[in-house]
Amino acid sequence: MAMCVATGLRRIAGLLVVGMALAALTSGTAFAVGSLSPGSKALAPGSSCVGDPNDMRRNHMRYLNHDRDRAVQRGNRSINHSLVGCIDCHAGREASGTPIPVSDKGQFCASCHTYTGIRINCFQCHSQVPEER
Amino acid sequence: MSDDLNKSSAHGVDSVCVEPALEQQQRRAFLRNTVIAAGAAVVAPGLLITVAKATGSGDVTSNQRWGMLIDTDKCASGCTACVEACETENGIDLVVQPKRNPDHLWEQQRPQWIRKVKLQDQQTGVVTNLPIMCQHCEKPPCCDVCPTGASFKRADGIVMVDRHICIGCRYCMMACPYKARSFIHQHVAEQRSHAPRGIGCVESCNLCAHRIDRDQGGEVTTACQDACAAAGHHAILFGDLKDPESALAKALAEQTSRQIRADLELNTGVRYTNI
Ligand code: SF4
Repeated sequence: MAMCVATGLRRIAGLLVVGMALAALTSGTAFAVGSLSPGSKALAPGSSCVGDPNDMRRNHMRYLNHDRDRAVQRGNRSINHSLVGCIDCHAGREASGTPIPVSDKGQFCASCHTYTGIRINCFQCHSQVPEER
Repeated sequence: MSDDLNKSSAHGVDSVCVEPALEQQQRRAFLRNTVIAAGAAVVAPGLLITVAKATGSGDVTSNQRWGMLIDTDKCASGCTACVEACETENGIDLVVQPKRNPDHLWEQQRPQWIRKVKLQDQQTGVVTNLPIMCQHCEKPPCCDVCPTGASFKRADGIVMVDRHICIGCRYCMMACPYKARSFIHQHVAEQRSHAPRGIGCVESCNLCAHRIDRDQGGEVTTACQDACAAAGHHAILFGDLKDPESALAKALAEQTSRQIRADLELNTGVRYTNI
């Protein structure tokens, strides 16, 4: 009997969590997976991504890997996909205008990577905010 | 020489049949090709110069070879303008001393792309100051020993580390006769956009490759050269060794210059006068 109650409780708890997640996804607040960061240039009217957003979501890592080798080894900066470019456009900003690192909790890069359980090491070396100096 | 060739290209009198504009074009193309083919001239011992610039695809090419000439007579004692400029330009000043690192260790281990060296002649007592950075060898020992291919030489002669591939083994640091490389020992919180930097990789002077690569025409300078000139010393001259019209090639043609450790026959891209 006690076991039944426990299972029942667990089930309800599970349902609650799923319900909350769905609500958050639809309202787009707490759970901003893959959405643009407030204050980022990407939100400016008329701005568009360097590629088709769906394709970029799926393949940006391949494009970045490909173009980084061209940039570093062949000195070719006429590349379409640069991490600096991504960060410039996608870094969110505080109301004061201070850029927020793209891999901070809930920010553009982190939101998807956390959700999908991906650990990247780009930002061990690369700046996470647009160059301001 | 080009005059003779030019005449033969226009076939003397026959050339009147060719439309003037077309003729001009052909002549120009011909001249260009001739210059490229014949334009290998020896400027300084072991220095070959060719003429051709167009890159087209945006990749750097071996039509250029970036290098430097440092006049040690002009390099002032006590001045560190080039070192400071390099640190700001490449975000080296953003690397902070770890708390656990005592000063004497930090002084030895902190990243440094360019440093001042003082030489004194034991016999005469004459003191020479010079900045030393990666000498951008034609045959770089660092690239020879690198087990991963991370140490490499770009087509335009710049020797650098592809830190995406570097495993931090530091063989290259041991191989470099100029002590030009640094290892990043600690996590780095802040970087400049064009100068990524992180724990576990080796790095060294890249002749301000970011400036060269984003160049939209006009003269490219390095941060150290700018700073040296701003300080009124003009000891550093950066440019294209293969372009006979460059100030660098002209300066090299005019005076005797030396490679440090020329005995190693590395054919360095950085040369010195008055040492
Ligand atoms: S430290 Fe990096 S660049 Fe140097 S030899 Fe090892 S892998 Fe190559």
